[in-house]
Amino acid sequence: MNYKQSGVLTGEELRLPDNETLCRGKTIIIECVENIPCDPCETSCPKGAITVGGNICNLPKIDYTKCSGCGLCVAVCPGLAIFMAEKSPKGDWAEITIPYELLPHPKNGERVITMDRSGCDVGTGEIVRVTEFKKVQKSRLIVTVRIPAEDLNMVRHFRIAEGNHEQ
Amino acid sequence: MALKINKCDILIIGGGPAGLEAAYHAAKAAPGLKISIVEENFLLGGQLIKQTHSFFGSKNQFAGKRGFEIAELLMDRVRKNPDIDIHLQTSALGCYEGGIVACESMAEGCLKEFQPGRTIVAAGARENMAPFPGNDLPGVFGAGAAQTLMNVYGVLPGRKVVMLGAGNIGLIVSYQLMQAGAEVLAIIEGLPMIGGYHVHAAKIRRMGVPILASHTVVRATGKSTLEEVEVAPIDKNWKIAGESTVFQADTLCLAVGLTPGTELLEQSGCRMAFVKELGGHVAWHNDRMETSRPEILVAGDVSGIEEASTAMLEGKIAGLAAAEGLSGLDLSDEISRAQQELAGIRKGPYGEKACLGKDKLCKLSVR
Amino acid sequence: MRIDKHPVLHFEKGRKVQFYFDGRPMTGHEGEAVTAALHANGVMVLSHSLKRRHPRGLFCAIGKCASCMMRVDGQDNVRTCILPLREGMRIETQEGKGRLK
Repeated sequence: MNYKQSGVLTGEELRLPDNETLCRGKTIIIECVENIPCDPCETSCPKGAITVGGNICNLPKIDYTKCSGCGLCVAVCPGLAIFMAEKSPKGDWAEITIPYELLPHPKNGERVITMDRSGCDVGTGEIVRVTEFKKVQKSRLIVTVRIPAEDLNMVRHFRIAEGNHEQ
Repeated sequence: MALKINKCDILIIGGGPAGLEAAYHAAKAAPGLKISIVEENFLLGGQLIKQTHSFFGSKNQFAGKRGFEIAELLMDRVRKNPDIDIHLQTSALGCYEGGIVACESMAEGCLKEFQPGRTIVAAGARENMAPFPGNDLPGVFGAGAAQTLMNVYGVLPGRKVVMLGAGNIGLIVSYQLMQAGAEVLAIIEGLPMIGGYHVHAAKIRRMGVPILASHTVVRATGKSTLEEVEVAPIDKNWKIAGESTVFQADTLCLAVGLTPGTELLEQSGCRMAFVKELGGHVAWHNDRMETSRPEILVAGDVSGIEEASTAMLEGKIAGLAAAEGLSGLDLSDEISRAQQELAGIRKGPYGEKACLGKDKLCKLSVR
Repeated sequence: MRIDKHPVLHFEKGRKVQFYFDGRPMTGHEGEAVTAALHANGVMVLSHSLKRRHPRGLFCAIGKCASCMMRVDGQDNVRTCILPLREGMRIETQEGKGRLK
């Protein structure tokens, strides 16, 4: 089944950054594979690390040497298709940053159940950062979850375990 | 019923994104022209006021802003212009000789007659029905209706939802239902492929909502309101090809396309054409949005089903073309810039259908 | 069911008013669509099909279909989905095709 049938991208369509790039620091991952007319990722990037080019329907290209890992594009992307990843140099943990528009809002230190691109549970993680770029996008949280390194290419969503969250 | 005569130069029928942009740009380009907008609903902004997702496009098309925020912006600049007056709860009934348009004001309980120099029909579209037993049960909504209830009025249509249609509307409304606290049990799609943007599908898939391609709704049942939705796999000839699954649901949303709301255009004698890529019958029009009747223009979904960003640009083009015709000003540069912008956002694979449809229309003769 | 918390939207509601559905007093917010107020009160059946008397509910919510036509303050065939709620409104299920006044 391809992604147009399932709604789920597989390794084939994705050009995920290599291990070395991930271990260098925060690295964005753009899961945007169709030529839709859209360019806020390019225009919002303060470092010029993302290029769409003259035709607004081009796919965005990332220059990893320029990306500072600020996360602005994660907040700006209308398709909620940009994530940010980081791996510890020793490979004992990883962090994935996810755009989030649901209630209840996650809190720092909270344990969550991590989910993959098809909504299946992967494992657990810990919320380590919750930010909001209010000036560029209201009511969209940018949430960083610390997870086992081997889960990094799978985890793209999370849910707060029932009974775990204080209302 | 009392009759009120209203004088205006440009009458715009429909206060959605196309109509609002037509009014704003016409008034801006040719100050002094009197412009009236008639809108059937008691709220301005059309279907834009219920869109909570961020828009694509570029800065010119308000990319990144949520639909309802764009609506506020468009409404605000129209309300601020003293040359534009707005008639809410007013339905256009007919377009007659000499360009006279008769309207009924439900708010004032009177008839209103307009005699504009140009009329821009931006009446939008209506949601399609899907044929299956039980499709008229309360609890079976157009997906847009469910969206209106929850995003405009803050009323949840139901708790357990099945969505029929995996085009952009089906995917977006499913996501918004989940945001509002409902549970979407499944998205059913008759075609073997998801029709909407992958990014919309990805958002709802990672939340655990299944999308069943090559499936259809067999029937909806319930005593006085919806209780169960029966779904079955189908083959490429749309014949049932496997065992049914029954979902216990109180809500079934139909997102199976839109049909342009062309009654007024047909009635007024505009040349009509059936173009399936545009959603059915539409009024013939050129790239300045002018129809076969020189005083009538079209913009937005009524001229072919697309989306809000293209509707806004079509509205702008129609507004400028109408203003040019009445004022004698040369607005051709501005019109061609808007046309280029429109062509730009139709460039990708998702714009192909609209381009094909508009091309087909252009190849037909005016008469 | 009213949505009390939403991640994106903040609902600005009009003052609470009383209205009547088939004689029963109900509460809604002034200025919201009549159908929204009815739905929030659990009223899903708005009309019946003419021939088979099938129950009908809200379908389009923007005044394009005829599913929500009701009698409002004695007037038949009012599209209640594009009618703002006012205090004391008498909303009734309409029998048959209705009459022109």
